[in-house]
Amino acid sequence: MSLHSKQEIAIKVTGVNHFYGKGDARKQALHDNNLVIHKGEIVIMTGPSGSGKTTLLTLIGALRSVQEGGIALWGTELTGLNPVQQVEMRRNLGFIFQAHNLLDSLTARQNVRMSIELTDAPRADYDKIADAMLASVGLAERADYKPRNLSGGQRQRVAIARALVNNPKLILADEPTAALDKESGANVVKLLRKLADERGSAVMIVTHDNRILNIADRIVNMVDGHIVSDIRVRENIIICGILKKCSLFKELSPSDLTDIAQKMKEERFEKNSVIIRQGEIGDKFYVIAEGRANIIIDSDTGTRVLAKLETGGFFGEVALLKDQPRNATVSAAEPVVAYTLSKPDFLSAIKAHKSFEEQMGNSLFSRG
Amino acid sequence: MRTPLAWLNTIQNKKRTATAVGGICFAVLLIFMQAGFLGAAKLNASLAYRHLDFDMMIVSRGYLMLTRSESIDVYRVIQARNVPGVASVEGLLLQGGNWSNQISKSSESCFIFGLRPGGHYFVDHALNESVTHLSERQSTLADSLSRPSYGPWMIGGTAVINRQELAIRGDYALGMGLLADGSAMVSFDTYLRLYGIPALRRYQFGLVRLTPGANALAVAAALRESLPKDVMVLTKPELIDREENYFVNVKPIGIMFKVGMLVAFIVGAVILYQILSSEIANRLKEFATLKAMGYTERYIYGVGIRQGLIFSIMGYVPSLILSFGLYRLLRGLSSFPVYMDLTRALFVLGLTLGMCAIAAVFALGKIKRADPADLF
Repeated sequence: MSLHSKQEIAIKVTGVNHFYGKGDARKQALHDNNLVIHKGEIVIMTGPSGSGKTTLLTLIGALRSVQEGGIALWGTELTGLNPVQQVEMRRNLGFIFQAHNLLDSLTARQNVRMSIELTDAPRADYDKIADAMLASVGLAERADYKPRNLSGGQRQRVAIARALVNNPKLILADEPTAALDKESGANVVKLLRKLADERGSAVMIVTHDNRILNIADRIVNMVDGHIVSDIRVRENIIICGILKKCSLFKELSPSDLTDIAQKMKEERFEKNSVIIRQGEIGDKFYVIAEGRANIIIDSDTGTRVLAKLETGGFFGEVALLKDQPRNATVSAAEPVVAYTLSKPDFLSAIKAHKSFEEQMGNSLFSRG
Repeated sequence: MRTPLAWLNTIQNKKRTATAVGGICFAVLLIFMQAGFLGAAKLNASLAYRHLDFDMMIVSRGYLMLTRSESIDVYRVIQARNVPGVASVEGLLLQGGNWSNQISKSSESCFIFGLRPGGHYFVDHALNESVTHLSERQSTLADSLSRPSYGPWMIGGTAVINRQELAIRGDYALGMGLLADGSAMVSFDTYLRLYGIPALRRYQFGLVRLTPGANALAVAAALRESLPKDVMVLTKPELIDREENYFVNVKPIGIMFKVGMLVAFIVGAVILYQILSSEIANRLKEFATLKAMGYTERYIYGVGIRQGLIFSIMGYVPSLILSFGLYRLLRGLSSFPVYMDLTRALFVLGLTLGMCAIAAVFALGKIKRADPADLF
């Protein structure tokens, strides 16, 4: 199983700062934001209001000019684009707004056509394309309805059809489900997931709606203009699953596990390679996700295998806790995939989670 | 076909659009009325001259307009007859008098033409024929387009002009419009009697007709050369032009209609501005959405301008049709010569589009404020 398959980069945000106002009133909205989003990925941005997520969304959407740092869409830098080029860039994007923002005087079909008319599609095909798109969001019967004659969920689906009809490479959505009831919200989200998977578009959703977090590939959390976490959801779920099996973490709540999991990195080891060596300075904590490893101790009495570790097994904590050299060697008995936590993250996790500290005490005790 | 957004936006709220179009229609109708009055005033000013048959006119040095002219010496007319190229010169007397309404005994203003019986004065031959009948003493021709305030009169009956009884021998259709309540024609003899003038020494005008093939400009130059400087010689087009210009540009009545037209124009532009700007304000979010989708600002300006044009044309067409009816009504009520012509229709159309342009310049500025970044 590969969690880091090499994917095409859709969006690359590097060192972006953004300011509002001038002079004394100048306020920094974004602080050194870095973010990479791949093709086909759905990224959900969360965070309290005023945390800068919408600012970042509008910057990526070429709706504001980049002030500091760089944003590249498919390798094209947005910095330095003139307004005309910005408008052209936007034609590659699909925007979905909280308020559907349909044109009131137009029917559903005409609303979708407004998007199509920006492309080179032959004029004779406008209606055909629009109707096919409306059918794919389940609104074939409503093509001739004006927005005021549609329900909230139907309007949002028309807005989505309008955003997606040109196969945009990037879809930017702001609270797409906020105005919807649970069922319509779920339908909208399912639609986004399906279209992202089928069409390989990158999707970025700003939302507070917890009900839709499960469609995300990644969840990016922002606070006060900083990206404070970037969780790869599926990977996180897998890591949590493994951590759960691990006696050390069994008492932790899911949210504690998630906190730890998101800081872990994947490492791979060949068969018979040494993962840690006795006597070295310890800098990481390890949990085995796949494969088996042996704990080997060199002592006056010779080399012996102290224990065998399987999936869910962990090692490396003693050196970190006691600030000692490694007290044993661990080598891969077969190819091993491990998740590692750096020493500072490990120590801060222990401090943050009381129950974890207790477990840790028990584990030290039990291991002697 | 592309989606006609401007049109669909315009007809979306039918009630509001109807109100808006009604407002514009009213303003355009006002312009039509003022333009009609102005045109009629012009036509009215030169009406008498259009009826008179002459190539050029000898008038006094201090001549202002038909009803405000000084007199010329009868010798000027005689002198002019000797200039080569001149076929004939007729003297014409003209002065304001009063007509008594025989029922109400009220006194109405009346312009009195003094003519030489047998003289050739008018384009209309039948009228020239009637003038010969004026040789009978104390007889007159009455103007059938005089105001109703003249009271009842009939051919063969009696008219009281300047407190003297005259026999009505015939009629003609002239109408003085804004200049006076009506007019009457009498012979030189009767005219002198009406005003108590002892002998014919002065005319108001000398009507010059040229020999066929004579060069009007050359004859005019020769006339100016040979006549003393107490008179002016004006060709017919010059005189008509001067008359209309004096009436429209100098007299308050013309200025009044022009100001009226300007006010109607401004009212129209303001109405159109309000409609357009509220339309744009209401749709600012939609315009921002279009910008986010990748529509250029130019496209959105285009939508605004097209909406302005649609409103203008929707207001113009019914007001054009209504104007035909109102002009007809006005002619029936006042015998005021208000007629629709292509020039006026196009002129008012031009003003309507001008209204639209001015309204658009002020209203469309808001489109700049449609910021797609605000949609989030």
